[in-house]
Amino acid sequence: MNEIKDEVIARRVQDGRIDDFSLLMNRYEKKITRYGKKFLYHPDDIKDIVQEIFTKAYVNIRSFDATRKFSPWIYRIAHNEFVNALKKKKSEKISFIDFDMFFPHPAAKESADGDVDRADLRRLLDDHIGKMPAKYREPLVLYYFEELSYREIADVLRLPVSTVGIRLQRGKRILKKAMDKDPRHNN
Amino acid sequence: MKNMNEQNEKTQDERNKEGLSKKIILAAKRGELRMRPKWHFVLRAGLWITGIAAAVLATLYFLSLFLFITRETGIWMAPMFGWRGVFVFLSSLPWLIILSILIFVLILEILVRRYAFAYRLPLLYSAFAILLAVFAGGLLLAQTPLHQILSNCPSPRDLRDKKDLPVQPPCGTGVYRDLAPRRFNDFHYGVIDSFDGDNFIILNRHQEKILVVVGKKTRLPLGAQFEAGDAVVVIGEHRGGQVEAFGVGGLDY
Repeated sequence: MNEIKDEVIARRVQDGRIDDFSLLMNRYEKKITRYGKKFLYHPDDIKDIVQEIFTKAYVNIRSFDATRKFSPWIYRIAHNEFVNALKKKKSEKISFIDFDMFFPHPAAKESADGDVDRADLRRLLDDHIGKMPAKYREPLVLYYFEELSYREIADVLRLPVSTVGIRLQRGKRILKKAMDKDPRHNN
Repeated sequence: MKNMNEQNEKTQDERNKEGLSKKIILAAKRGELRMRPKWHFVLRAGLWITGIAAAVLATLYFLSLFLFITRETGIWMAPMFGWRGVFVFLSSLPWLIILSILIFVLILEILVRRYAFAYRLPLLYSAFAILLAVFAGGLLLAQTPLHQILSNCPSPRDLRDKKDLPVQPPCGTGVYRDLAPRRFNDFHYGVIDSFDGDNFIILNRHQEKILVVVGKKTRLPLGAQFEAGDAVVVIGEHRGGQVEAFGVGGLDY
């Protein structure tokens, strides 16, 4: 059966069909919570922020352009909220200027990983996410868990597409190094 | 036992999910949570675009003013006179205007990076595109008589023809008094009014007459033969109404 598209539902909510917002929440609550778990550790903190994200999404739903994809829009709100939460906690250094953003990276084009590779990396990411620098963690999570494209990730993080590519490349390299050092993966 | 725990967890998860969804929908229905109207976002976008337009206009104004000053005063010719000329050039550049241009370009870059066409590109590309666009616009604006009119300073042509000269010298009104055609350190420009042997008298924008003393060491363009009415730039120390010329150059106008 064909599922109604997120954008169609969002359009209905914009037109005043408030109840339909619960459909969007049902689709994204689990994903956003999983995304939040990559930043914060306390479930209560995550729960509060997820509620804040959906509240903001509802209040600002009319700013969503229904001709574009819904997922980058809601992940953008989630990204802002989680980054703000991290800043408040001061548990992690978040830098706003990164030289990756200045220059083009022609080598960092979107590459299709094999299914096995992707599943492996996802498992690895779950094991080693805490050790990854924040700037590599977020694109990796959005790419491997949330299955967003480079362009969609660029829209969420407001970064050049080539920067997303280079961060994914470097993130994967860090993960593979971590895998080589991990005895569980060498057995 | 493990299955039962998993089942309980799932039920709790489902309950939480339903709870949050219900909470938000209920708050929306009660009116405690209200969607912002479309006009709110239109207004916000409008304000943002107005900010971009203001930053573009300010950048164009300062850039064209910079081009106007360097062109009209011939200060860009100063480096032709060697290291001394380079020093005069650097110390005479309108740094306040250059700083204003850089600040407005930075503001413009920050404002446009809200839009996908800008943030999807590397910062270097978008900054270069902005610089190129404002430079082209500034160049066009500098060709118009805008700054000439606003500064109320005569052009070399006006000085030569002795027409349209401001009644109240020195020239420069408002912001132009400090920024536009200004008095540079050891750098003088004007139109040759008359000759006195090898020396000559120039009439500058402030309608002051300055005697330029040309000595054996004065650097002159190869085969230079100046005439009255020629616009010239002179490097040299200004003392008691006369300038000991270190170098003299012709200025096209």
